Amino acid sequence: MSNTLTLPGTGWAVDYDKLGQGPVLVYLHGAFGLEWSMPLVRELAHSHTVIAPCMPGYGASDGLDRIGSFYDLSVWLDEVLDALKLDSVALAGHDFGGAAAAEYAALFRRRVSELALIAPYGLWPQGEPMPDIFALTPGALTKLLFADPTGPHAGAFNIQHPDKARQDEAILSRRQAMIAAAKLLWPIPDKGLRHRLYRIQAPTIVIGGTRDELMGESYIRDFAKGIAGARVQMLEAGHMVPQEATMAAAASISKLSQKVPA
Amino acid sequence: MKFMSFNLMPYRYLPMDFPQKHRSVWVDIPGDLYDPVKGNQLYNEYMDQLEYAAQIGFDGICVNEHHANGYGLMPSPNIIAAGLARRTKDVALVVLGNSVALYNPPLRVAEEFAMIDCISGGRLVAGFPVGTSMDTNYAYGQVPTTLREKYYEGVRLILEAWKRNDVFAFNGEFTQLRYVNCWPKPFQKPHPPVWIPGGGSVETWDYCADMGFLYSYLSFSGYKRAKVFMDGFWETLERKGLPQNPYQAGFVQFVAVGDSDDECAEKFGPHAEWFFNKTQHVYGGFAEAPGYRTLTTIKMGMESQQKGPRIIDTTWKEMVDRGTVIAGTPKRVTEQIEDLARSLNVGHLGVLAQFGDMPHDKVMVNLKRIATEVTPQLKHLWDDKWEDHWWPKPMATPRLPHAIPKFVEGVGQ
Repeated sequence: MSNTLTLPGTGWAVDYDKLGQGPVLVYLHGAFGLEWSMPLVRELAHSHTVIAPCMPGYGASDGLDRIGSFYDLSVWLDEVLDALKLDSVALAGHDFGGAAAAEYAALFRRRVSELALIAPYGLWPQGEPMPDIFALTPGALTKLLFADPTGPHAGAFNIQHPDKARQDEAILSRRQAMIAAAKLLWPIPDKGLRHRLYRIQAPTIVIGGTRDELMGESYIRDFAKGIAGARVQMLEAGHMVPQEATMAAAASISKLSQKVPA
Repeated sequence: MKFMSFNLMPYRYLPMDFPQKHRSVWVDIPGDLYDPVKGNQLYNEYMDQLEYAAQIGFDGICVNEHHANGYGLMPSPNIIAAGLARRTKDVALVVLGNSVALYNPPLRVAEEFAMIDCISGGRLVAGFPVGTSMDTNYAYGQVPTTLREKYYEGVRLILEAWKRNDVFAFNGEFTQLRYVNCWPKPFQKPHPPVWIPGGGSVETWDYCADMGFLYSYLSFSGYKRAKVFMDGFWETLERKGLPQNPYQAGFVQFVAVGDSDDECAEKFGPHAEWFFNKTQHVYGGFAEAPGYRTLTTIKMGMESQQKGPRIIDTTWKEMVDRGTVIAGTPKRVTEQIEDLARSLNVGHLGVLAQFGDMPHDKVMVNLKRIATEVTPQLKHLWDDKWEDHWWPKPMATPRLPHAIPKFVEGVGQ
């Protein structure tokens, strides 16, 4: 269910969902906003207390004006955890949220017990450049993101309402999300994370979609290589793993927090 | 009323099937379509046209900035303006302008504009556009959300650097300079007139009103569609209790003069259609980076159902009917420009006499007819009431370029 907290230092509102029971897992959404991760958040809530904040500029969370780097975003997340009185947490993130989670785990490494990165931004592949999500028409974007561009998930993402007011509202909401994402990911989503990845000490899994046209398997494997002991899990999905491989992604993430017998 | 000859400098040799084969004339236009030999021809033809316009009576000549763009070959308008400064004597050099946020540090703009103002003997108009999203965000990688703040900060730095003679520190959000020292300084004091070319954003109207800058609405859609945007500026001034001096505004317009409507259609129609149907072909994904406009501005646009300024797939007849192009006999063109000036209340008009793939000789004739048969009738339009505070005030007796003597005493023969 939706909650709001206020960060004491800055007075910024943080809009967050909290659901489920069990060990706490903090989930950071992708570039297009939390709603597109909700299937996975709900699934994870069967085994965890999932706390999924809207990052600055998303939903009713403010502070985007003063967030100019992943460092700023990590400090923001640190203050969110303080405000929620969470000491050490399992952290998961998809896409933009994956980059944010990796940055946080590299900077505040003692506070992250496990880390799950789902098709995370943060590196720039060698060779062919990654497609630019900020330079696509809406139809082309949907086609890029989903393994099944004609399926119900893609249909819901590719906002088409007959009612103009609802359509305008959906366009504005997408625009709001893209504005927040572009602030940190523009023009190339590589802000030096590769130089900090080695600092991550939490047990880590990097999850990719076998049919992801944005981040291929070699990108996912390169990402994992930078983190000592990180495992790779490729799932049958496009880039929108939280929607297209919900159950499998939740199972992989849940396994991470189960103690491996010695 | 002041008339400027404005030249976009289009690349006239795009293949006929460009829109079918390529997705965009801007940002990712293929490099192999550019032939530097043609570039040599085009730059010199276009500069000839601007120099000719200066000779035959235009008050100003006007250049602008675009990047990775098939219809605008001037990534650096300052290079063109510097060339024009040496080959012209008394015409205003309207650089419309430098996209301030693209220069690192923006002090570079202060320095280059000061140089042009000195070389030309004080004939510079300093234009400061934010720049389009295609130019600034896509081609030049600027973060869309912070572009405007960076721009405002840059303009502040430039004006301060021009006005102050002490060496000062500038601690900005985007630019930090421990020693700001713009050397040379512009001739015009406190600084050259500042023009802000823009689309129809509320922020720009307020900015021009508050700073006393000229607002120049740049669009290719013609004067009839521009009215709502110019009215927005005048209403802003009125609300702030400021005079609505037409000289605080500028506009651009395609103009074609012939002996009859049919002759104009035949002579100019294909070039105008080439311009709109080929060079306005921009991929939708590059239309506007997220954050280039604020959510509030986008929302206002949705509510007022504003139409975007870009026109494509049009015909000569539609262009003439809608006022996208003003064309016809000198008498008819004069009447329409007077209508434009009075309905938009503008005192400066950038005349686009070259458009699309119009060849050099045709442009020269069009320029000549405009300068001799049209603009002389309209020069005095605002004389009775208004004074132009936004026009350069050049030196009385500038040092002009001299012919280089064949032999210089003391130098080896």
